[in-house]
Amino acid sequence: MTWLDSLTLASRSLRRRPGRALLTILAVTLGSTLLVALASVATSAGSRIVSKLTNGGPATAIKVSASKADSDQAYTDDLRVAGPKAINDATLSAVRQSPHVATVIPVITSRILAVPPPFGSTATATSGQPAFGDTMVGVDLSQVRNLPITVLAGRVPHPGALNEVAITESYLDRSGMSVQSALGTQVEIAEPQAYQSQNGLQFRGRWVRAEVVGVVSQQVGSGAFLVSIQQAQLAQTWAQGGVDGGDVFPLPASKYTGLIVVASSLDDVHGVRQMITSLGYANTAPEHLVASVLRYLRVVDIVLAGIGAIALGIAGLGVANALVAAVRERRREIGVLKAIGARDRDILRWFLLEAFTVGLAGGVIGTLAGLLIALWVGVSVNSYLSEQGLQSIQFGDVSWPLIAAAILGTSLLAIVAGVVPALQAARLSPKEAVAAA
Amino acid sequence: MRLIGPRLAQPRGVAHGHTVTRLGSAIHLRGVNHWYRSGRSQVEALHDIDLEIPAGGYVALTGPSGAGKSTLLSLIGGLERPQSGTLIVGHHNLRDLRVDELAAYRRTTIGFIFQHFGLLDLLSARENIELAASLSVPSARRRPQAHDLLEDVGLLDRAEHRPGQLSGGERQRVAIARALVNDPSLILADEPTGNLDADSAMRVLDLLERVHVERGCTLLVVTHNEAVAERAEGRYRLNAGRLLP
Repeated sequence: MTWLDSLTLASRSLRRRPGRALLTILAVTLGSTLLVALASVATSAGSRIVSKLTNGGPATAIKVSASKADSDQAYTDDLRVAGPKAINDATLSAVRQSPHVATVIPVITSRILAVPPPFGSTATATSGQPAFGDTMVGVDLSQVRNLPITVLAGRVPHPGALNEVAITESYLDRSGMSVQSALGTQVEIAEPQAYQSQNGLQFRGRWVRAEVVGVVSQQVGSGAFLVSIQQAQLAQTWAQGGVDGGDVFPLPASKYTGLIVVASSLDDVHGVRQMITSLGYANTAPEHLVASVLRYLRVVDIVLAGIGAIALGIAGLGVANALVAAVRERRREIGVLKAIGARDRDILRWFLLEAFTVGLAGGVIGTLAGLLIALWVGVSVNSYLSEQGLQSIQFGDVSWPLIAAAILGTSLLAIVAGVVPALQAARLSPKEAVAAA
Repeated sequence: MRLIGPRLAQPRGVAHGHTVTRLGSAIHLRGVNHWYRSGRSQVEALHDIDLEIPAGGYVALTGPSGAGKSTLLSLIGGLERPQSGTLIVGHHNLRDLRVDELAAYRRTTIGFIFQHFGLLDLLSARENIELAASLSVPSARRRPQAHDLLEDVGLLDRAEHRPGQLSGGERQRVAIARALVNDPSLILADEPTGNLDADSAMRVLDLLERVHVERGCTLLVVTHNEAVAERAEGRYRLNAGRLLP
């Protein structure tokens, strides 16, 4: 008897008692639904919490400052600065070649003068400041998913764009604009340069008009403007074309203002931070905070997994119970099959495949239902968060490993639950089975 | 399988005037005892049975209920092993066979026919035969073989009907077709007409006898029915586990 023969026989057997088969599948479905829904919601909530801690960036991101590290730097999440220390291409290369470093993203910041709209001498002033000094933060925006940046509205500028800018809420406060009114507007930015004239130290600006394409929350660097690194490099080159502006506008002493270093895994963060500290650079990462939060999330996961396991256990008992009843009902058929030459393993395979079919059907339906419930929970939670003026959480991401684990796990569970009744069936004496008729 | 001595069945070449290409299995029982437990007591089902059925023979086994007829059939059919004595069918010494070897023996040597037909209700007549074929016949040959067997028992037009849609006689004919799927050398029929009316019973017996003659297989029929027993070439009677002279 081939596997296909056994599978055909198993599916036919299920169809003979459709009510019982449906109830058993329903029990498995409920178990897997609960497990998938809990796992999906817990995973989304957990990743959201970690994302919040890291401001949208990876939990393994480390911020490196162009400063000397304090002797206590290795023991704290906070930045411990002991004076300036330039970051150049050699530093960048050394960090990139270190073990357990996934990505290194340089950061360049530049002091600027910002002039929000309206522009021109005839324009009517708004409630905000007409012009203010601030900082623009330039990074490689193709690496935005590795950066501690959360997009609140719109988008980040395109990588390499020289006339696009994303703003923070600080700009909105100072310009007196709302998120919606700011998006799509333009801002004039003056990149300053100090120079000596007959009247002493003077300043002049390289004026750029950029479109506001998004509103972000970012912790890459302290500044109200997020721009491409190319735009920040132009500002830096322009400033270095002048003279030292003293305390008001000193010449940039470091090619890069900082680095964002992404470690390969959470377990590697501490080692990478120690390596950066040994190079002499101050750095910060919420490694202890994230580790502590992850420990709490792990406890929550265990509790939820326990609830799901109980549900699946009950489903497994349902499968076992249904198969025990089926074996009792089919003693004659088992006996006849054995009488005509079926081996014990043929009978065993028949019942195990029947259990597998129930588990597979319940697993597939339950997984889909679980994902739908997670989606529904997400809609409800986001509706509440929206009413409270809070940022929404993205639920219902399709996690293929979770789907695969749920379906395979449920099928395996059903097989395990079916082992005892299937063995009973396989070991039934053909004489007893025929006599039972 | 363990081979013992020379094969007991010797080719006859001709059976009942029909030329046959093969012969059935001879049955040889010597001092066979069998008992089973019923609660705390031990019940003797068979006592010191000596029996010889020649290859290609047609024998009826009669006796009252509880005489041990079905137990003897189970032992010969390899559904269980005798607790003592010698039981040889064809070249198989059944006491020496392990569980899987007994299954192989049933698969290759025996064709069982039950009073209750033993058809799976969830399968059609054709599928019942194909299921039996799946135990020993390659996939590609199963459907043609089921077709031929159904044609042979005159039920080709009922091939897709399930047992519940067939009459008792038709069901038993499907069961006979199924029993022939492995071309058995020994057909064991346990009250094959017990659930049939007289007309259907005679048609089933006619079919069994035709199969016995055409295929040259040994046919052992357990029956209460004197009319059925009288049609056999030989006849044995069991009473209280003992074979009467």
